[in-house]
Amino acid sequence: MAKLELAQQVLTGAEAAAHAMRQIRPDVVPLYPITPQTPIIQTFSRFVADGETDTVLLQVESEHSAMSAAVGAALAGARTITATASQGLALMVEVVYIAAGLRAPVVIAVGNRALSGPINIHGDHSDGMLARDSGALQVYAQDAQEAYDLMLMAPRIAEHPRVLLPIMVGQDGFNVTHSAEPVALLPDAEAAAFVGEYEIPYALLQGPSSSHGVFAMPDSYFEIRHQMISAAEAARDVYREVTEDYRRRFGRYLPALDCYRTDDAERAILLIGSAAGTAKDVVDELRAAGEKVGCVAVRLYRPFPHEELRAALAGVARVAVLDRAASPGAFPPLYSDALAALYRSGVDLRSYIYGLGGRDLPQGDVHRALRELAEPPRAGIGYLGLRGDGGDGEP
Amino acid sequence: MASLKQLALREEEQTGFFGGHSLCAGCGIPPIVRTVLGSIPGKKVAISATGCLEVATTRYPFTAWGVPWIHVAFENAAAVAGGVEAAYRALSQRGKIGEEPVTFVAFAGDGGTYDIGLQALSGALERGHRLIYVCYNNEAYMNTGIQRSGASGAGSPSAART
Ligand SMILES: Cc1ncc(C[n+]2csc(CCOP(=O)(O)OP(=O)(O)O)c2C)c(N)n1
Ligand code: SF4
Repeated sequence: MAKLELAQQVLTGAEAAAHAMRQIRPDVVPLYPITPQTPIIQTFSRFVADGETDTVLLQVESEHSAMSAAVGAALAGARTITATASQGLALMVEVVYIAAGLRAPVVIAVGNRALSGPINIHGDHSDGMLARDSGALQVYAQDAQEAYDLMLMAPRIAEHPRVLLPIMVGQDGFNVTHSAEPVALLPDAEAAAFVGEYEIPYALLQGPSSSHGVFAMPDSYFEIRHQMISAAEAARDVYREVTEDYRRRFGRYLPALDCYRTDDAERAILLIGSAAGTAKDVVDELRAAGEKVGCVAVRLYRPFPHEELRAALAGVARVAVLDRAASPGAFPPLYSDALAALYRSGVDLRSYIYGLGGRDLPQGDVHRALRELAEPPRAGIGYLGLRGDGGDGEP
Repeated sequence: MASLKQLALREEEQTGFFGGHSLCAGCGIPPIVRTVLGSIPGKKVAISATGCLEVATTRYPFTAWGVPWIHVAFENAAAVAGGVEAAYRALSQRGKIGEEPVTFVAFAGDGGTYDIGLQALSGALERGHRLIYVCYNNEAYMNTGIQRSGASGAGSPSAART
């Protein structure tokens, strides 16, 4: 396995994503500011102004238009990236669904943030979950390095001929977008060679004339949607191929699930995103005290890695699923997905919601979830860090 | 440039927009589209907003369009057109497509222009995309069954009143 010696730089997650965009050299980038995504497009715009890439920037008047322009550009034959968060993604979402249906492989960098109201600019996964069923693929980074790596891999996954779907590359608002840490960037030429050229069938500006976004009646809509659904399923294998190629070339591996000390674990935490770092620290601490605990962080959320999750948690008796989003009146999204994946596996799953609107997840809350796993099960959803819910991580 | 009369005479020579669509007999939209496309020399790409024109000309697996055509949603024809035009600029500056000039033409109804699409149109105009935007103004939302739009004349009857 090749391992490149790479110089590290101190970068925030947003800057790391912008560096990936600089190396990808997209043809078109429609952009619109929103915290905590703004530093992605701002950093990228600086690269364009400095002549580091000749990407055509479109300063649109809304995220709805950003995504609309992105679909137009991508289907015209141009590699296209945009970025957003929270209300911006909410405004975009109509067109994110259409992008998937029209098979426009747009890359969408997301600085995941809570949804209004009340208005809140801090991190959670409510925005991503709003687009969960759109057909857009979703990956989530744990830190700035992963934000960079996943962003570089995103075009290859989205544009693969078996996939041709938009992809959202999520990084937690502030925890990742604004936290500076050492990031190893690939040399520009290696990154560009990895990403390759943009090629789609039936581009508007290339080849014979084609009609995109047509009107489908009940006699055809279902089949067209089924093709899109099958493409999302196929993206599971494509994600594996692309991440393995990345490992082969550069020595860094980001499988669909990040399994940390789960091999002989009896209890585990399952979550998405930056809180994995906190959970891993707690796992280390408890392991040192002889407790068999582990942690699984989901990187590939759509398509959901059912098989991998079943394999990862096969020997684990109890799992606390920590969601940073809610589905009011029902169990939250990751818990529901995990429950379906582990149906009849014998793994006992418990649901927790944490961190809405940027509330921290202190180590004490992870301790509490793992401790409660050793106790008899309780019904319903537990809340970590919510005032009055009995946690020891009260703000 | 050809006169309207000449364009109408040359109708059968035109390959941008064909018959066989399901717009109403006597509908004013087909002559508008044919005349506009016929008056533009060279390569062109058409962009449509949701509405009668889009719905009636692209019923899968058929299309009435002989030019590359795209529809994304109701309120964003101008933004989509801007994206396609930006792609053209990006690809030609990088030498990925030929030198041939391309004209971008967006078609939207008055609902898609005066009402829900006004913001996207404003942004596209302000950014200065090289494109033609055609509003076929039939003075109402026809596709959803004759409701008022911002272009309906004061006092004009709508489905609710007839
Ligand atoms: C966001 C959204 N809202 C509503 C609709 C429903 N809708 C489809 S076409 C239409 C009216 C179109 O009116 P107009 O733009 O005047 O075009 P015409 O039908 O007259 O050709 C409406 C309201 C839609 N497709 N999308
Ligand atoms: S309802 Fe639509 S298709 Fe029929 S005449 Fe009016 S605009 Fe044309």
